[in-house]
Amino acid sequence: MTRQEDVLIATLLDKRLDAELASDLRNTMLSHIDKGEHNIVLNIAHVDFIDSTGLGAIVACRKALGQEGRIVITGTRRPVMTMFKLTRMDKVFQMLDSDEEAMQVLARS
Amino acid sequence: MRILVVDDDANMRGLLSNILRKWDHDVRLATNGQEALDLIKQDDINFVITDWLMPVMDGPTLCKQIRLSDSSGYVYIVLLTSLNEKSAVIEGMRAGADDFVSKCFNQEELHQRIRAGQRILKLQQELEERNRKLERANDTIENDLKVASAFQRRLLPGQSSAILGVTFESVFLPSSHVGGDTFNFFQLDEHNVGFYLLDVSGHGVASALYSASLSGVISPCPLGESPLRSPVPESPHYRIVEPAEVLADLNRTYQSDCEIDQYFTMVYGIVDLRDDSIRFCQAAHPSPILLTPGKHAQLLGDGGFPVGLIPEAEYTQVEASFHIGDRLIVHSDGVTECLNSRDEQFTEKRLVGLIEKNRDKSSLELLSVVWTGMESWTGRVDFDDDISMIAIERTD
Repeated sequence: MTRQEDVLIATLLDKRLDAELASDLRNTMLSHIDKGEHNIVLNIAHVDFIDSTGLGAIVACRKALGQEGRIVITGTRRPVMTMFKLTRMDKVFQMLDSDEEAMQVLARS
Repeated sequence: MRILVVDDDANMRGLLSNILRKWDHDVRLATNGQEALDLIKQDDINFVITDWLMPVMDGPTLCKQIRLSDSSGYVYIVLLTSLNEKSAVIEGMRAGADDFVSKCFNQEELHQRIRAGQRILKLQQELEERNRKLERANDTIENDLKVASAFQRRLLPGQSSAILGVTFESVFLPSSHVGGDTFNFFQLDEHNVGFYLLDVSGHGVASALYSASLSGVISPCPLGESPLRSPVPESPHYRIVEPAEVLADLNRTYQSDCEIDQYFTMVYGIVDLRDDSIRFCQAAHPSPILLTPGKHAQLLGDGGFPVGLIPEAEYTQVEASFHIGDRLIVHSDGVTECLNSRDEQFTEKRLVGLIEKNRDKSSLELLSVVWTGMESWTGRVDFDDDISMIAIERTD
């Protein structure tokens, strides 16, 4: 978890984003959002499997951010991207290759 | 506290019992290890002070016997020793003694050593009591889950059923007694048969309750209002709601919030017997597999929004011909995502390959081949996620 200007960059280190990790991720991110974070980059480059609870946790962050906030997902690997496409979440989230690109996009807005 | 003093020397027994009684302990006496063992069984004793050298059974042997016996609760053992060498201490501890007191003891030292033993016994008893409570709670939960699991199975249709010209076969394996998967088939009117398979995110009790409540709602229920049939003024006074509309409606009704963060993926479809077609809406659920005689097994649909996650989600539907002999296999992601010992997934590709290879088998046999395939893939007979599969076949 690092911060650059007003952007919080959260990097997931686990390989599986499933029920075991999902509630931790959700609670950690929601507490940051509660404290006023509104620009978030979620780097999932290490993740090679995501299940429905993992996806639910990421969407919960988006809901908590509301209209004011923005969340960008970076580093999505192929099997995880398949899941994002199957569930159309690739249309809901902005998905970019790198944190640098995400920073540029968030800086422009 | 009840303390058993074991010594063949009457003077030593007398001395110790006087001191211990002075400290308000309930003292029992034995002259050798064998007598001690009998008393421990009879009188519910948890604290023993024993001499080392005795006829019939010596102290270390007594220690070993106590540790071997399955007496209720822990027995704390203090060995009296005149042998003050290290090797004796090691031998005593190996036999199972907890502490040592020299035969020429100082009263205060003995007092404090007994108190230390009492503290250990108290911790031990608290731990046992807590374990008993946990076991009772666990038994209650296990039992509740078993009953809940039986209820959940009753919500599902029988393994095989036929409605109009459509037959259904199914497999359901919840991951932990109860699961978040559910499915059903039903007649919508004289030409249309509806079916669905849904998978609530997560698994366990909350997901099972959610899926049970959904299975009550997603039904043609001719008396009440149903999301599947809506009333219209003109004859026949109902309209069969298109799958994509049904999913959009469910998505509006079941939005997750701060309290409930569960949502579900689903395939809801209609077999239309008049125009030999099948149409379905795929809400983030794995793609169904179409088996048409003379053609390769084919995945239909490429996804869609889940239900209950994105309020503004829009849904589309897939349509395909569905003639006599055609089959559609719908499964939950538990099938393709189950892992082998090297953490590799079963995958959609493997599933389609297995179905293709066994396409000449009956639907029931086909589902059981997939099930067996998963068992040999994982090397297990129970799975980490809920598994459900239905095979829909147009028979006439």
